[in-house]
Amino acid sequence: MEKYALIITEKPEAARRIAQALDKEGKPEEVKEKEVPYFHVLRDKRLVVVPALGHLYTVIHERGKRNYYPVFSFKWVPRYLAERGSKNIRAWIEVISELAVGAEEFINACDYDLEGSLIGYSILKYACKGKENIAKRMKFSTLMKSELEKAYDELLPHLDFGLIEAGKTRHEVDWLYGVNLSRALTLAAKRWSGRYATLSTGRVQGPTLKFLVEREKAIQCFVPTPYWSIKAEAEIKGSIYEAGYEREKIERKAEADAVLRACEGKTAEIKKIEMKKFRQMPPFPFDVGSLQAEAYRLFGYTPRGTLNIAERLYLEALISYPRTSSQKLPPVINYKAILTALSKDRNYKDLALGLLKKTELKPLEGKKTDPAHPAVYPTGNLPERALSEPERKIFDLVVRRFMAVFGDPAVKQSMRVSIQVNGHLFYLRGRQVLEAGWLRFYEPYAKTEEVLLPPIKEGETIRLKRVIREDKFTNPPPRYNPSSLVKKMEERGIGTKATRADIVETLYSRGYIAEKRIFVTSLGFDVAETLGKYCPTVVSVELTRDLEEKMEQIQNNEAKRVNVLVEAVDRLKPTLERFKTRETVIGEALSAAIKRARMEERIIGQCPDCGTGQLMILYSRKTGKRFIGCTNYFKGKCKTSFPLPQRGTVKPARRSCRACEWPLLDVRMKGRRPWALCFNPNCPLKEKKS
Amino acid sequence: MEKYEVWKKALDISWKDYLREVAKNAYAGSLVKEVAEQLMKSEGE
Repeated sequence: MEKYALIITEKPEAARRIAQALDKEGKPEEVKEKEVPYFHVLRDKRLVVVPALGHLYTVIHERGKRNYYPVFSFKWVPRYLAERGSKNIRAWIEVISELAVGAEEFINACDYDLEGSLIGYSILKYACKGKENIAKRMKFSTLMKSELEKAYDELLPHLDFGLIEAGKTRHEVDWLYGVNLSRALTLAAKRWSGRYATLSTGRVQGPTLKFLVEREKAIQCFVPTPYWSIKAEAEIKGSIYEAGYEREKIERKAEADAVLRACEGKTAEIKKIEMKKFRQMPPFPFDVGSLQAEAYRLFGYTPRGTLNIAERLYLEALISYPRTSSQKLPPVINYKAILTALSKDRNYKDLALGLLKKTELKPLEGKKTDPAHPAVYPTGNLPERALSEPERKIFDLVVRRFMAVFGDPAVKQSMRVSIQVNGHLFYLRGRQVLEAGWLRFYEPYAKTEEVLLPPIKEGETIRLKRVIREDKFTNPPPRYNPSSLVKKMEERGIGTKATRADIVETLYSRGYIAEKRIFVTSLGFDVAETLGKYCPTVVSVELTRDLEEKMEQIQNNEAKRVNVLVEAVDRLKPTLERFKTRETVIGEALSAAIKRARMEERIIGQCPDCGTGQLMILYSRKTGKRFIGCTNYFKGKCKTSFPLPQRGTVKPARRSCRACEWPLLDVRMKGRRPWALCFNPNCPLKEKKS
Repeated sequence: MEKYEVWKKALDISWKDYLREVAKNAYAGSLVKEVAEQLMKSEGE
């Protein structure tokens, strides 16, 4: 049989696109073997394009037992040997291995980044039996036909070993930290209490949880202080305008009251009118961080959610590769062609044609760069199917941002009118957009609140309809949300553009944090405090950032993987040894934390009968059934109880019934939609139904 | 105590009233409220 070139992609959809792009007719033959799809392509020669399912290989402990630490010896194995629920990976590896036998050339066409390079490398090394040194690399930032053809025609002569080494090191260091620390915590708790509960942490999770704990402490220890502000409602030409007092904060109530008395009912004079024109420059092109931040600000999408949507759009060749830290758009992407293509969509027609009339298309660019990819941009392709609402929103956001960066600066005017009343000054502020410039392209998303003032002159007198004193308090530091947390991680240099969003989701899934306005749970607090007390290096931002920098150096061939691994082990060893010597006291603290967390999960709220006990989900030893009981029952003070559904899961909903204000429960049962249960037998909603 | 000085300057408020205000203030941290309530209880005794 004729030999072929085997092209490996990261995901099935990417394989389909690459096969379609490279096939002469654009109609590659799809084959399925053991449910694994691959494509026969005819071009200058025969090609076979086969996808992976993300990482097919992972790191595990060399010896396999799970009940001890520290462990420093590891190996790379197929994922189905290491993870439950990955049995299907076996078939993928088998099919790729079989295809490798008939190949004379090998090409890695996974995404050009740390993960993609490592995915391709592992497959070439293990599944294809040692082909990593002869394989070539396809490099592209979009799945557009023209770019894929160019990437195939201009193959890099070998794999990107800098990225591969950096990727391997990152996985191995993360594994070393993750498995050792998680085992240390879990085993410490188990050895103390005799009960098993998974407690886990990681190299980046630890410091991230630490920022959250620091913020939580600052919020819990916050003492607000009072202050006052004064505003006046000025009547000018029949309309009311709000003017602020010259001092934004007045620290004494008596002083605020004195201003009020001096100004109420008095006539005011327009003392001065100051106008200032200024330019607002267009925004920079999106890098992954700013895309995630903007999607959170506008739509409330979490960073992980935004990345998932952006990846889907990338796989459908609608936008470029989203995991980029670049804020630059090089001319090679062909701005005119993209705008011309976008003008076919009626939503963008006028805007795109407007930009195409410009003599020069030059995007405003930020300083950040990425060695592999430009900033996120639309390819010019329009959706071939109806996009879901989140996909539509992100797509629209990317398109409008792309257009906005070519726009002219907006010209705005701010106006400040000084109003004098009995020796006191108030300021009336107006703002107006004189020339929209780039705002026109970014219209639904740009913040443009105009405050138009009427025509007034210096020396005019006006009536103050009301002078109001506002009682205010200083606010605690704001809670992080998933977007601001990812930004904080980026500022502190921990995690990578690809992993930060995942780390935040992991903290949620482990029960260390909750809610969109993040609060740290008591379990999260206890784990962070324990780590901080007994192995502070593990929650150290400096240590994590230092390792990140070393891994970046590997990427640039400025450091060696083995040295970084040795350094990581050298830092971890003494920490784990110290942990072991204090395992008992740590175990005791963690067991108490787990017990507390489990209790909190079952506490519903205050008992409405006795008023002092807590209602919680309990289990009858006699009948084995669950029910709601009052904690004062154990003191012989309250016998209040309520029945509960016996199937499915029941958890406190952390919100109240709108009819009777009793706390609600979230009930989930197989085969039914989850529902909120009010267990008040006299709830007006229940009475209404019956 | 430092914060009490700020409140005193702002409102000419007694220590007892300060504790009461802080304990019911929506912006006060949970630990702060707990401490204020404890102090009110112990000083009330």
